[in-house]
Amino acid sequence: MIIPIIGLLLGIAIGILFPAVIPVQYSSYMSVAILAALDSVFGGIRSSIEKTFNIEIFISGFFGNAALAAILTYLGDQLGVPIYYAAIFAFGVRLFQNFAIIRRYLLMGLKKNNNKS
Amino acid sequence: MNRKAYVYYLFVLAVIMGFITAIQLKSNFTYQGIVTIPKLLELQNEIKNAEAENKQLTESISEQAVKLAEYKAGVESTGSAFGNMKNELITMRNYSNYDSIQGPGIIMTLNDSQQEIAEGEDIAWYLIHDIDILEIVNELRMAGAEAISINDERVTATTSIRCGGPTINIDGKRHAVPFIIKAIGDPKALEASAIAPESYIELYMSYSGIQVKILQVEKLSIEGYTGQDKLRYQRKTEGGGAK
Repeated sequence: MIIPIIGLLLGIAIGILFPAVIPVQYSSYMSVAILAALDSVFGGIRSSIEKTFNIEIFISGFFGNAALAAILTYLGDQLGVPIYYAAIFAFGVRLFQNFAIIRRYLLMGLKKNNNKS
Repeated sequence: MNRKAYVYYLFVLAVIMGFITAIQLKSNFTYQGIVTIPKLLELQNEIKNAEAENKQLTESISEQAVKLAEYKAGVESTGSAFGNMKNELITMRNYSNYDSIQGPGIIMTLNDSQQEIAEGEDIAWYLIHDIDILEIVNELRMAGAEAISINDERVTATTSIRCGGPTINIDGKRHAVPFIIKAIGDPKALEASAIAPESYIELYMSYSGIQVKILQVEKLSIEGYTGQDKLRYQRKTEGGGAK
């Protein structure tokens, strides 16, 4: 658990120190991609609690979702249709759902421990 | 795959995640909504306008620079900018219509119709009205008339042409038929504009037989404006440059 957190902090540090910024026209693609990646992270946490975690699925979901979300956003921009919202909605709903399940597992785990002691 | 191995994958993913998040936050965008095509076109137009304005301003800078150079040369050669100013004044006066000028042009003579009025027709159809004069002046200007006078009353930028009962008031002075409109410009273009099939005269005045005579003249002189200076209210705006 500690290694991914160290990695996250390292990534943030690199990002802050990195000299480039994203051009404004790509900002929406990037933010959707971040949302998709975040959704994968929550999915991964959930599956690891359920002991069904699979690194291949996780990695492919992480990159695949981010890329698909960005591509859909681009397509929507070209067509003048905010497909962007579809990605936000789908990933947002999944994110909250996963978080709810994680919460239940954690709370149930706490209860079990309390009952034992 | 054992647990140890994929921890490194997670580490790499976490680094990527942190990196893109940080870079996105650092870029500090204000949310602008979806850029739809109409919005894009609007913005493109805005940019185009700004560029055009920019270009115009640049041109005006170079124009002013030329003028400045002329002034400097004048000061150096004659000790004062008087000569340049005089030239400028002459140019300005040509536009101001105060001076009598001459050049090629046309003389257009308009007179009321002499046709018999048929039953049920209005006599007003057979007379020349202020609006006719206005339209003709406008058409002459479109054909490139540089100076226009009506019955030797110079038409300036502020001239009013208005109905005065049986007469027409031009700048408040009464004028009656015949109206002699003189215009300086390309005589052929001026005449063509007056007698073209789509011209005002052909469309609205030929039916009722209003008499129109057009004469091309090689050397026509037009009197300057003799009234008072009418510009009493306008002032130059703050920071208003040339143009």
